[in-house]
Amino acid sequence: MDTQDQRLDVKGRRPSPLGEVVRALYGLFSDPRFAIIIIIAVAIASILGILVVDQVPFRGEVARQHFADRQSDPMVWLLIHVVPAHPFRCLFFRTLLALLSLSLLACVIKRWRHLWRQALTIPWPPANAFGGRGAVVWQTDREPLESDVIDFLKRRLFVVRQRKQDGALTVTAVRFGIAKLGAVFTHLGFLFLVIGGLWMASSGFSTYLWLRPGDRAEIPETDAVIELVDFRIEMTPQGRIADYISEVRLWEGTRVIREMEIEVNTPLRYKGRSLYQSSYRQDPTAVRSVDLVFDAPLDPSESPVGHQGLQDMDRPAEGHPDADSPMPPHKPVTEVFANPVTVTLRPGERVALENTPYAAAIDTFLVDFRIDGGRIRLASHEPRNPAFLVNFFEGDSLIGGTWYFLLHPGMPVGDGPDIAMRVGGYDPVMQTGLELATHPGSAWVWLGIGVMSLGTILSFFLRRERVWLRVRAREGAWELALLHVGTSPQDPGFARAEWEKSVTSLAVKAVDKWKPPGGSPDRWPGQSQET
Amino acid sequence: MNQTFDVTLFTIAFAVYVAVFAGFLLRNLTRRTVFGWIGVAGLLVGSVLQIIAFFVRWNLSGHIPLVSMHEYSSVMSWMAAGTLAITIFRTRRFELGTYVSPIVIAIMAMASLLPTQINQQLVPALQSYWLYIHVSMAALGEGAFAVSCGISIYYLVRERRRTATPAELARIDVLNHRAISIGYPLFTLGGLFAGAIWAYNAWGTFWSWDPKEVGSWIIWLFYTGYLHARFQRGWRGRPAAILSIIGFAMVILSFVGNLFLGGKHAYEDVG
Repeated sequence: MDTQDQRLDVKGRRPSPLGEVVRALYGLFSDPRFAIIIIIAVAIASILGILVVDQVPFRGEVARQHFADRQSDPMVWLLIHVVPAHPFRCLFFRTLLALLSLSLLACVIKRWRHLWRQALTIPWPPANAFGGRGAVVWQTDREPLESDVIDFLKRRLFVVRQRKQDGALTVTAVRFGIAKLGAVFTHLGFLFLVIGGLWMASSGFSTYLWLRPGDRAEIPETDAVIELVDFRIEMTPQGRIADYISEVRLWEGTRVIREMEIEVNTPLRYKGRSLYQSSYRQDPTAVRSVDLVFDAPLDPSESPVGHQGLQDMDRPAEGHPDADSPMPPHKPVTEVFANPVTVTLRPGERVALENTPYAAAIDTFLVDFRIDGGRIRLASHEPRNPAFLVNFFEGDSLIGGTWYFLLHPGMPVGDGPDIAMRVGGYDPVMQTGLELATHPGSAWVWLGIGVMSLGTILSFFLRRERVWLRVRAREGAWELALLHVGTSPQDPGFARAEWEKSVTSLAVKAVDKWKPPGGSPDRWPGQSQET
Repeated sequence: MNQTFDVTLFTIAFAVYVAVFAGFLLRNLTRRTVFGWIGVAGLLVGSVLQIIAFFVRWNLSGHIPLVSMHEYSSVMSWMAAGTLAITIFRTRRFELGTYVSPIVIAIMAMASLLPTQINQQLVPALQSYWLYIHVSMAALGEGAFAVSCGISIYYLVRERRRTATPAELARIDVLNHRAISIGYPLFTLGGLFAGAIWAYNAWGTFWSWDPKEVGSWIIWLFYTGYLHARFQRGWRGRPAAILSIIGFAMVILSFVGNLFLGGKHAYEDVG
């Protein structure tokens, strides 16, 4: 048969070019060598991803912004266009996973029928099986009762078949044949996992909700609103965080449909959305209270007068956290106060300052300030360098405002009255950080985990065992021949050792039902003797 | 610094394992079986001491001691020592002790170099029953990989010195495979799946490509490749032994990587 003929299908037709491509691809993907190569490629890509790409601080869009003035530099071009921003979400890595999935699928299709047959059939031994090197043979004078051994095997979960032929009774028994499907389940399970993972990575979203007690936030694409009732951080006596808990209420319209406490390992799940207790932080622009320490005059008549030198400067926009607050002149303050008095200011309250005509109110809080273009702005959301704008009133009139800095008590700035004053401390407002995420494809992931776990258990914790037994009358006695399929006839010594140790312990007990207990076999595996 | 009782027990177990190695060496030099049995007995004593230390530490900390790297590697070494004892007991291959017990000692040494202080308060993310399942199974699985690595070294030495028949080498190869057959499902079910389910509950995602996750993924891929090479391509004997050694080297790299790469899995000792 020439090469041309070999390309014809079973009906003698020449396959279409597409069919040939499909067949070639199927041959490639179902080849275990291809699967091993892809596994190695995925492993190498993962190693490079975590040890190289993840360690490059500037890549992708970040590099584009950071090196905006050096875009022509080849290294910068490399960082922007070649080094992926997310090594495990880039097209290259996803392609590798997709190839691995296709390989798994092709392998499963290729091996399915063979494994299925192995799992579900109870084959009879070949004609010469008991004469081969793997059989164990005993001679006994006692007539074996077939029910003894069959009951024994059935009690041990073997599926048993028997037949009588030419004066010999042959028994074939299989246990845990389903174990053969373990490989199919693990491959399919992994396939489902990859499908679910890729789906989730491409279609899922996650966002942070930073909420203060009393705040509400809509849950996207639903009618529901989540309200934070309370947020608390539980500490140990040693000052370590024991837990952080968000007490929430879920509203649908005007109806509360659920109330619960979200903790780190206890998310709230609602219509395919999950809310996780992910983080917490200090509110960057709000405080519960501020303690101001000021040097109160002993005699009210000595009360300071308002500072008039800064009237021409713009006033900060009241109440706006990131307002373009002007940067007024510096007014040094001594640390030592003759008559220190502490007042606690709460948002929205005015508090009279002892022995002065003034009242003070907290206007703005910035958890971390920076000076930008002569203005005080929010630098970050971390409590690194807090600043407080305090407004001063005389009667109902606002007479000025001064910025006080927690870490720089001697350097208040502003146009408030000349009172020696500093911030003694403050009580922050804590925000809970809830991560709102959707998980499209999670059903596939769960299915994958379940199927793959089943496959792993079948593959590693169950072993398919086959026992073939034959009993026949021979020379005035009874001959028992046992073949426990799976011993290696290529290595007789090894086969016998394996047989002795574990494989046939059960089968020997079965044979013991038919022979005098403790009797040694007349022939071990590996001893070739045609019977 | 005051040492807690569990650390004292751990140190004694460490010393016992060193003596075990000496016992197996003596057995190899003198060919007297009694030294081999002393080694096996030592492995059992060390394992029991580690079990007691584990429960003492549990009692002192108020939570299962599977949180710090010291605790993790301690469980890993216990698994390796216990598996070695059972393997030698069943196979009577005392030479294995000479090759596997140094690995147990190395893991113990690594554990003893890591911070041993007890943190009584678990960080919120670890307050879950998944801690019991995920970390214990991963540590036990990696302990089995350690044994397979030792057996592989034994295989390569015997093969190189030509002191073993092909049948004997085949038996050693099967032992190596059995160790991996214990470690792989434990690692898959506990290290990967239980971890993924826990992460889904705690962090909102099954998988976040955290350095530790990537390390586990690579280890899993590697042993998966090993199994495919063995069953599909017939890689047994020397290639399988070499793969097994490389696999355990990856386990150690992933473990030590926690110290440098940090990430979500750096809880008690680093990060």
